Amino acid sequence: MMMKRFLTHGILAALLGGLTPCQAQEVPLQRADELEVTQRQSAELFDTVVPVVREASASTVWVWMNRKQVALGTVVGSGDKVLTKWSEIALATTPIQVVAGDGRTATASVLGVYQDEDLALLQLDRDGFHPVTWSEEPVPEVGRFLIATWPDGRPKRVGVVAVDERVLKESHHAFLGVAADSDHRGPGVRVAYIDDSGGADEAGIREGDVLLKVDGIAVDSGFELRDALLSKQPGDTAVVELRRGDELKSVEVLLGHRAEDRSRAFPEARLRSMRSLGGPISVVGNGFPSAIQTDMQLRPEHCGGPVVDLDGRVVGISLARADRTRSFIMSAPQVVELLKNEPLSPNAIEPAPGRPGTRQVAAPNQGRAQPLDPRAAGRLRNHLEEMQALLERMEREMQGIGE
Amino acid sequence: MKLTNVFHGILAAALVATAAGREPLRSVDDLRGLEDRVRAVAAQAVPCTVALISGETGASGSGVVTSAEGLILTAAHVTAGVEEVEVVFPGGQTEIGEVLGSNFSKDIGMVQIRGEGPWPFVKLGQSDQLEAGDWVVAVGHSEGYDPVRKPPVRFGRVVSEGPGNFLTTDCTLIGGDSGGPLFDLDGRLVGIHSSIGESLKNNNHAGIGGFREDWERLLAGEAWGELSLNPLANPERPVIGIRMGLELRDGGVPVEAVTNGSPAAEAGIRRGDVIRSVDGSRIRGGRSLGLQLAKFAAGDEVKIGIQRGREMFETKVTLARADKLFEP
Repeated sequence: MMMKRFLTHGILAALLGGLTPCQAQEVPLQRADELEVTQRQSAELFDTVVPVVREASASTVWVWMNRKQVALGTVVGSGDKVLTKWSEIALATTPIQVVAGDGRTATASVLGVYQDEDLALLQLDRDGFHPVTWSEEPVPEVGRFLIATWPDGRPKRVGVVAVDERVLKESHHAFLGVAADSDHRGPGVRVAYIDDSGGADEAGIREGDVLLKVDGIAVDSGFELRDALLSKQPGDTAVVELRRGDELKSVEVLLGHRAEDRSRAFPEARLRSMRSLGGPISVVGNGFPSAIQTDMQLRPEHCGGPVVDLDGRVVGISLARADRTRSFIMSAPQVVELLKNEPLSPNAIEPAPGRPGTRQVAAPNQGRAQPLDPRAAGRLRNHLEEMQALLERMEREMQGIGE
Repeated sequence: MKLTNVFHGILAAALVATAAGREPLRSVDDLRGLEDRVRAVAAQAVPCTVALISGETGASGSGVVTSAEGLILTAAHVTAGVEEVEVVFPGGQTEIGEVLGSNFSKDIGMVQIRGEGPWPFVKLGQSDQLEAGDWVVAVGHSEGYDPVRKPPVRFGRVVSEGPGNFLTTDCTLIGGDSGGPLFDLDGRLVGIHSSIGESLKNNNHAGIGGFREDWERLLAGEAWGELSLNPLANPERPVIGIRMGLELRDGGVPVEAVTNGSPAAEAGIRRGDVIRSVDGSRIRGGRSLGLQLAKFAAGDEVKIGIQRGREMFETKVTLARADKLFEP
């Protein structure tokens, strides 16, 4: 049975049935000759980029844990440290092993953790690994090709920059603290209500005021208002020109930050079922301080490795497979900056609350090679998996009711 | 002498650039050429890719502006059941759009921006000649309008043509992308995002050719057709006009009856013939025959392989639309 989903919701939402395993051909109407053409084309594309990834592949390592290759790592420092994906190794119950493409192997311990980026810095028990050279070019913009490396020297995935580098962490976005009245048609944005976490309240903005300009930029919709604040950070000030009745006023607002739980334009439950369509996604997949979005079809165990451009320059490190359409890359300049900071000791990490738009994550409070009581780690993982399975079942059943 | 060589180089590059998006990739330079074109398409397409939000149903999809006067092409199911939508441009500018016509069978629809232009717009291309391996670029407001980013760009290729006006690519789509644009490497609109299957390679788009066929009716505000998840149930699917008998063990499909005046009748297909292939591809049963035909559109000419007694031959058949043939 062919399974398709229409990509919106509304009155036809019921058409979007629950997720059923698709045993049939990946693309039901694809003819043998079409399959052959696309396979040959993929092979051609990958052969073409082999010379491009050669150098960075030498700095790419497999990270093994509990007899499974769970992530990639990028060799940094003088060849005795590796940057990798923290959430994939956090529950290690056996020593973490690092393996390079030439067979060189080391045992690793967690030196520290960059929790917001979900990256761990590993200390290897031997050196001689090939450290990465970060690109000093500007961050690649939309449409640029990106290639994920693999330790064996073959390119692993090819994609393009989908969205320019941006802040994904909600609390790093400046917040004025007003909700726009959607019934109001411009000019200006009428304030439906005031959210006291933003600064508008303090500055004396009231419900019913019509905001006309932010720092001299005219705003005629809630979305334009948000856009006008994009270059601002929490703690910055903005000059807001507004109309109250017949009176024109200008106020200075000290901007706050957005709450983490942000309501989305698209219903979360329906999206969740689409997000993992086509492959598994990372446990921590979103909410990073800074990332490039790409359409590269990574798997969770591909994350943590270098990403290069067509000149073979290492332009970043893969952070996560977020969902069906998105993977996130941290740019080289950001990684270089990050590595200047002392990472948090793995013993000092607080259990992280769930981030918006990600699967529930439970960061354990320790992350060394054998940090937890193995049985406790096992219980925690089982519990998480059970919760996930339960949620998915409930979701399927809810959708069944809708049909 | 050296100068001539340089000229040869430039000419060759120019030729590659104008040919269809299916040139073999031989070197990193070929890839750089491809990258330049993807970047150019993205730069042109993103400002014209709008989010369509319905206050009544809460539906959120995408669309693309195709004229300076503000004519938007989208998917029929994005605007289903509403007369007006909010049109949000990347950057936040918000306008009101009037929903024009929709053909649900092709999942295509039109919206007209009420405000006065001129609006940024994209040019229309051709979808009929697209085949597996043609490079394409997809844009759309994935997961709904997000003020902190522009609509994401995706790069891929056609992996399968059909059914009917539809085509399938490996540009990954998700909720909210519906109605968003698919472009060829010249930045011309070739499709509108419609649906996905489970595989990352199963992203379906309504070809622009379908809009061309129905342009006047859509513009006039007519709504018709039936949204179908199954290409074999689509009323506009192409047929030859036979009743199929029980399929043979070797996959052949016996003709049990031929509809009067149908393409099969005109091509001389008779009761008792066994259908073996469509355009050289062997068929494996009745469903396989239906799916093979579904890859074409009504009006296309295909070669049907027939076994009549011991004789094997091919005959040319011009496909008809199921709804027109069976309920004229």
